[in-house]
Amino acid sequence: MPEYLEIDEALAPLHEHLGGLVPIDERDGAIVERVEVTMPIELDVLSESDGSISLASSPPLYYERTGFRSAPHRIRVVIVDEQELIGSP
Amino acid sequence: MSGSNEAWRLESFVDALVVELDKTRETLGVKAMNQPLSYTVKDMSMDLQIFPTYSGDEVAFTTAQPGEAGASTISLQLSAITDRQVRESSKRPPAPGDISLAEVELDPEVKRDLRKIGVTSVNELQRMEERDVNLNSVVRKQIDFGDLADSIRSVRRSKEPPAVRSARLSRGASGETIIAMEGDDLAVEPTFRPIATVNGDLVDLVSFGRTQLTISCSEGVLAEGDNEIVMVLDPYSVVRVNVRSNRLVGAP
Repeated sequence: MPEYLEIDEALAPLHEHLGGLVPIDERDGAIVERVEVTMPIELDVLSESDGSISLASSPPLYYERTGFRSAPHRIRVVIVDEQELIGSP
Repeated sequence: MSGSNEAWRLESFVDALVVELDKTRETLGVKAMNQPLSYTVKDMSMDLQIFPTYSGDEVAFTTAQPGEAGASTISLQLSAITDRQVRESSKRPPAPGDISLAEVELDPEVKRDLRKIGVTSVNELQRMEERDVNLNSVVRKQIDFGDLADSIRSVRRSKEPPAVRSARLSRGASGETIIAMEGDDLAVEPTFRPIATVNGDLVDLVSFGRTQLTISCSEGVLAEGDNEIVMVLDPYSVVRVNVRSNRLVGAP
């Protein structure tokens, strides 16, 4: 598996991007049980000579309103308490 | 963005996505070590803007870059499932000794067609043949099962190649030289009688089996010094051994 050597410095490996979505901390006895995020992403698909692929992504890089659609791809991620997943059919 | 925007196959993309999800779970697991809850990714879906191309054999996709118009959308959805669901919905992992079709000499077009219908190993192919499935109706070229069986035997043989561990010389009752060789996986093909030559002369085989092979050669065939022994053990393996004889056993 490629080790993300060629990733543009503006992007991060996809798992770092996804793993950063959960604000895990406990405040005043309240905890986050479920995070559902739908967002546009910048995506870079890096192909290696052996046919394998690594994925890099970031939130949209540009926030100015332009006719130029900077991040055409969308991702939806649902992150839950592990117990919810084990209990689901 | 990286400079090149190369085409990718959906299978490779999904493989990469699964690796990223596994790493995300690991990251979340580490982050939650000191927390009461442990998080995991339950669902993930992606809408990708892509440009598909079809080469005649496979479809490849190029990811749309910012500002590129006219792209198609492909939607992927991955859901977490339990290990029981994995077992129920997945093919069994290859059994020990199972041979992947990639290793077998077979027409590449036939291999691609078989892969399309989910046949990736020799065992699966044999299972379909046993069930009397007419594979020639789903592949574009006829499968020659005779050639295939030969190729399978060749691959199996390459996985357990013959090895000569020792050679011992002695003199037979009639003055002939006996060369007794011991080793592993020597004569393994029950329907094939091995053939041997010593220094280019065809010689007799006294006995042969998986761990031993004994040759008898007339006086004068074996010379002092280096002797080349070539053994054809089966249609897929030829062994060449150099035996150095300093003094012929029993020679005056």
